Amino acid sequence: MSEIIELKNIEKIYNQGKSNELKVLLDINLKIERGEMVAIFGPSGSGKSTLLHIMGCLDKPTRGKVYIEGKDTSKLFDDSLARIRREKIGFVFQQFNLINVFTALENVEMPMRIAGWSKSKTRERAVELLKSVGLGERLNHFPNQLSGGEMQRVAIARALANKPSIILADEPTGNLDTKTGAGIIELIKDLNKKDFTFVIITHDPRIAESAGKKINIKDGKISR
Amino acid sequence: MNDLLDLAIKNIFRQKTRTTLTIVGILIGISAVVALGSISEGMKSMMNEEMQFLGGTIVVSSQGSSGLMTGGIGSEITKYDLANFESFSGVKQVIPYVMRIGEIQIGQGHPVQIIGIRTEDVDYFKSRGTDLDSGRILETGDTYQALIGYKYAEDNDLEIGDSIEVKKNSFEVVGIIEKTDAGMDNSIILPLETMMDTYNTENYQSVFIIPEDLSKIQDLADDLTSSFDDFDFTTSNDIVKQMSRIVDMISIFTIGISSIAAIVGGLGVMNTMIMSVLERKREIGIMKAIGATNKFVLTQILVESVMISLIGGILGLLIGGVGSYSLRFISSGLTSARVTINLAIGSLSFAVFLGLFGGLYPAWSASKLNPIEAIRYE
Repeated sequence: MSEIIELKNIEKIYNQGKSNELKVLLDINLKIERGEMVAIFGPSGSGKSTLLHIMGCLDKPTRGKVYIEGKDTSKLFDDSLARIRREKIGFVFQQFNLINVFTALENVEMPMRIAGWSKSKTRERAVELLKSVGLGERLNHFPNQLSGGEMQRVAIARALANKPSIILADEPTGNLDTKTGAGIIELIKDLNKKDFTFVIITHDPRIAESAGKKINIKDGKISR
Repeated sequence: MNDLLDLAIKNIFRQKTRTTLTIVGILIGISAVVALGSISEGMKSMMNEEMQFLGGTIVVSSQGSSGLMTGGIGSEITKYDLANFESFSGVKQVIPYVMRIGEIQIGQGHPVQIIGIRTEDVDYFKSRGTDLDSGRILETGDTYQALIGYKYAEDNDLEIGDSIEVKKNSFEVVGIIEKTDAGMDNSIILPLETMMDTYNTENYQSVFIIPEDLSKIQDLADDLTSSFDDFDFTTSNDIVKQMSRIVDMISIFTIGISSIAAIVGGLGVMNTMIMSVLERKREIGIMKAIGATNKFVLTQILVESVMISLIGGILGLLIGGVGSYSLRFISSGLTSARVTINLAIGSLSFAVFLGLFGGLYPAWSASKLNPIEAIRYE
């Protein structure tokens, strides 16, 4: 098994050297391997989301190195990091973060359009992805015409669009009722069986149960 | 890039009213640039036509009436003066003429200019590039015969053989001068002697002097100036300079004023794009999170602002063109306003520039958004 993400001695400090200095992450070392399903849990404010953002090259650590498929990202500029996010990483958020003025289909197309895929290829794959998450009948619905569970399925389809190496999910069931959440968990488990790698921040014991690896973050450190 | 255009169209028409108003802002500016610019373009081409006509001549006018622009009202050049010019060393030919503005007739908004020249000099004008549309030129022996300008013929529905009346005298139309887009279009040309009889004058309005050596035209003008105190001798070079200075001033003035309107339109674009970026802050954060580079965001916002401004520019060009045409129509062809290719390209480039100018700051600030903060923005 090969490593998709490796974190080495990661520290994240906000307002460093000032009176309101805030140490969010302290000396995090972590490896995520292909095909894994990793659950991160911990109290709120423990630095889980920051950790996920750093893994996904959405945020930069104050110290330490992030390797994505063996490549050191610490010296890369914004646009190179954006390209890594586009090609290697899929994000799923608690708030879904769909673009409200675009239909389900257009939302799923967005990462492929940004990557410069041809229109027909983009459309074809977006339809296929939405069908695979069970929304084949909802292609032209706008986010406000969809239920929470459906929106999260669209978001997952969008995360899968550019065939990422890993999907990073921040409380994907946090905004959903138990039953709907269960559906999303099933979808994630299915995708994991199809060899998609997941890192999931969650309070949901059902996800923690099915995760192969559990990481508990407390006060900016991994506690076992 | 195709995808960007598609997205941009979708994005700019999310706020239809705002976008429309912004487009109208640019439209007003650009149509003003086009309409007013067309006037100075028209003047330039009219000037070129006149200059082609005057090239290589010295224009004599009595002092106080400064050359062509005033039409020499009240100037007095006698037969005696003419003979003196003719015998002056270095002078090849003198061409006297008389010009009057015709009475305004009921039902016609614009006066015609009536010019009397010697029949033997008609060839000279022909050699200057003014040719006939139909008929023949004035010939020696012609008295109550006339040449008329293209527009005059058209307006009065005149053909060869028809007769026209000047000061109660009847003249037979023998030739129609081709379209020149200059003053000649609205003219009647009569044999000089008949014209002077008709208007009961002994003197000439003005005289063109043609030098023996074209390269020494300025020297000849200077010599003439020092020999004859009562007259001004203006070379066509002087006139060109004089006229282009006036035309340039008019251009700077008109383009300047209308550019201010257009720049205000550009500020409207900036305002709209700043608002748009603010409203879409969260969405831009999402785009960046799913892999949009800073450059992608920058380009997208710029494409949107240039598109708004270019739509305004194209509509402005059309409306300005219509305005320019109606200006020409209202003034019955006196201002030959024309929308040249250069003016069209210039005004569209200006619109693109305004789009870039208005879009650059909002695009730059959008591209620099921190995705994590932007996503949290509500």
